[in-house]
Amino acid sequence: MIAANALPHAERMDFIVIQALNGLAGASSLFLVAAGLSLIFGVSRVVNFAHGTVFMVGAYLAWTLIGRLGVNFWLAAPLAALATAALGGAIEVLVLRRLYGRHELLPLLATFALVLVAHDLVPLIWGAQDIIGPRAPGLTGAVAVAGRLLPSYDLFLILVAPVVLAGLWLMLNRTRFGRIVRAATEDPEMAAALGIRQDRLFTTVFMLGCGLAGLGGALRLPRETLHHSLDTQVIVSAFVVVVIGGMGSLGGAFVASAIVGVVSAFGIVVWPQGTLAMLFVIMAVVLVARPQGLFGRPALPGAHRPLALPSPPLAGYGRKAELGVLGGVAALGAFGFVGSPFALDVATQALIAVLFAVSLHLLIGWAGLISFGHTALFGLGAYGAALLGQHLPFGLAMVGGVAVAALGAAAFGVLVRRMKGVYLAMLTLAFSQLLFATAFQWVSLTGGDNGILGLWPDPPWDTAGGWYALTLCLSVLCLVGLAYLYRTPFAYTLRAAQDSEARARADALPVDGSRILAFAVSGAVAGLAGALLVFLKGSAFPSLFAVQQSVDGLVMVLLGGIANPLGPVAGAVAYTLGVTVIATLTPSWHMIVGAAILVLTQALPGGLLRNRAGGV
Amino acid sequence: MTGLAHLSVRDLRKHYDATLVLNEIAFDIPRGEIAALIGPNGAGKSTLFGILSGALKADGGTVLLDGEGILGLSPEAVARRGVGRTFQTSQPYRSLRVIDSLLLIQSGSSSAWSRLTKPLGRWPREAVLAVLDEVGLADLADAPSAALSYGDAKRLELAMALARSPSLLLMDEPTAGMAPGERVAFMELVRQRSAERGMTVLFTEHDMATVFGFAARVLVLDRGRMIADGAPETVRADAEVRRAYLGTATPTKAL
Repeated sequence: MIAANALPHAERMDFIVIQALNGLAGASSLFLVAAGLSLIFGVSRVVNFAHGTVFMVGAYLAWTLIGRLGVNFWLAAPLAALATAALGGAIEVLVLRRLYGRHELLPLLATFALVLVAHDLVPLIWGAQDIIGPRAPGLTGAVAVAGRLLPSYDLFLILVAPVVLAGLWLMLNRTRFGRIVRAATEDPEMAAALGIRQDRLFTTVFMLGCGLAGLGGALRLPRETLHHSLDTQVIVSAFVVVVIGGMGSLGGAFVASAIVGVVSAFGIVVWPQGTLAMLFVIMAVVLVARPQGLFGRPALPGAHRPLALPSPPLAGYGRKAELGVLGGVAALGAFGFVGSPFALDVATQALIAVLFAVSLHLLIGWAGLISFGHTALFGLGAYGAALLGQHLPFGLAMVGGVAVAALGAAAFGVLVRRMKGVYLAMLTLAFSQLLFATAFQWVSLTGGDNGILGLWPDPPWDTAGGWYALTLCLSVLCLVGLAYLYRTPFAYTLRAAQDSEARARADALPVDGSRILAFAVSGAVAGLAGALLVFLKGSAFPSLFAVQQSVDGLVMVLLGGIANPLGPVAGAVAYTLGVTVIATLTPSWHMIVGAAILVLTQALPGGLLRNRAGGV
Repeated sequence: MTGLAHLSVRDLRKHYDATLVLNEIAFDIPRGEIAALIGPNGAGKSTLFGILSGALKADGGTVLLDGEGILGLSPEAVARRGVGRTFQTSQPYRSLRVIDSLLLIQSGSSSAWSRLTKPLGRWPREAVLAVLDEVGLADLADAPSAALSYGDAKRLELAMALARSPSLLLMDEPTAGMAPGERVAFMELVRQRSAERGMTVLFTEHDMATVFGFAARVLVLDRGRMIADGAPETVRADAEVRRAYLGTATPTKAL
């Protein structure tokens, strides 16, 4: 790699100019995605996780139109945009319409299910190989800028973003539709009260947002290769852009996409290992200094969502429930002696999933802190244990892993103690991505993609039955401890602060302290789960920090029922066993799981278990 | 002067964007007095309450409680100094039972360790039940807060504010939406508590019968300025107050 400061002065200037232009060209399609995401969020408060997927589908559609049907690129791009707009309309009507006004995580979950479906469906339709896009007719040449050559298509792309921004601005400020969109963004309830047809507005805006994403995908085609995992890469970048710029602000999306584009362009040349991490650091700094983003307004009024909260587990069920639990634990213990190694391995994974889901439920259900990067804590525990396990006995390594996760979570909690809702979700996502980048790129410490191998426990725990027994004991201890904790003023403070934060503060309740402690406890339990997994598998890989892991946790919690203290336990067991069974039947299990989540969000939005006490 | 006052406010200023919402506000309230803060909608009453309780930041000025500055403290810190508060729209802890709400608030003054280790059901209930009895909610101790009627929810919020035995009680439109008989009973409760324990009370109110029936002192805000401060009879007769409320100098029944 060329270090910028090793070049002579004149060449360094050329390099800076050309890389900046390069970055702006890349920022253009990113702006289109982020603008759509932001518009949709502004009007319907839905964070469309499938927005990167729509972008990718737009690119594939354009490629099909050009390659198979011989359509000219300049016609294919707008056609692809129209097609993705139609796709967006279908998603809004079929998937999202029934989820408005419910828990804000449900639309996120449903659109993530679409990502899972596309994960298997897109390679089936378009193949798994990388695609080199066609050149744009008429713009195949290059122009000289600062003594170097810049593709003329890049110059075109640089102009697209401001033109689209101007177009959107005119639409929002000069048309009736634009006025309605702005009114609904300012105050959804008032807009509804004034007789604005919300269903039609939401559909139209969703179509517009998806059309923009599709256009972005099509326009990217002549510039970069197309592959079927582009969606997650794009959605994460778009999240970063929208959060830096401010949710619901188009100007913010414009400026932030330029920042992200330029930083990436320089990063790739100067410090490729750190580019991803750098973007998330920028995002975290912006969020902590200015939680609403550079151009966002503080706390957009959200639609009021009645939320059922969990209450202490088994309260009011008496002796019978305690005996039932004892019997269940005894049966699980006996299983350790009779189960096959495969069955014990699955059962151990289910227990680990239970710990993970329960730790996430502590944050989401009890503390009302939406985490979209919960696997950060899981991975901290896992890597902490793995790194220590190379030098220490496994027991000490596990204790160390738990401590690392708890301390890391507490430090993160201190940083974000005043943040809530979507912004907190995005910041937790950034935190986990930052750790993912670290695990992936700090090769000398973590082994990078090769992971850390050869981590096995000492006898007698080194058998399937032994590790299952230890996992079961620790899980039961954790669950009993949490059940006790949920009856203390600490947990009641978390619930009270969800009901009315202003009231809780006026009552001198330690709201911030309790939230930080909730992070720490959650980190300890998630970290234990991670450490247990490391010694079950004998290895630790960066994929422990993957977004997919965090989403798995969310699925478990929502599947089980967020308002029931036992919901995450039921959800984790059902999800782990379900995925295990489906994965043995078909390699396309993502698609099946995605479809199952879609059906569940529609049919059982409250999850498998409700709160018997009705939230009290 | 300041030495005598329980609550002392000087030069308090606050603006939102270009609008000055509070302009050089100054007043003193002696210990144990019940004072009403009135003014037309948008006069700055809720902003002033927000600042006094630490929920909002002021642009400048001083607020002394027993001679100690509390401006700029967090709402929790202000509450710990002995300030209790009720909100314009009552905000009980909807997911908790009545008794648990109060036990929780009472536990706030104990050590962090006991709040982490001792289940709420095992905390002493006597003091809490006494407060519930005082506001007339003893029968509803085990009811879910979310199931309370409008008036009962307001009484629960009063009990929650009283649970920590505050020396200063701030109430933002405590009787809004109540029937006239209910209003009198509610304010009578507050007056008793104030008389028994020397609790200072500052409340905003739109109902003039309540203001002149219970306040020993009336402060009038209009467009961010304090235009009158004195005994109810004096304020009632004040020409500027009449103009602020009615836009004319014609006396009417409202005042």
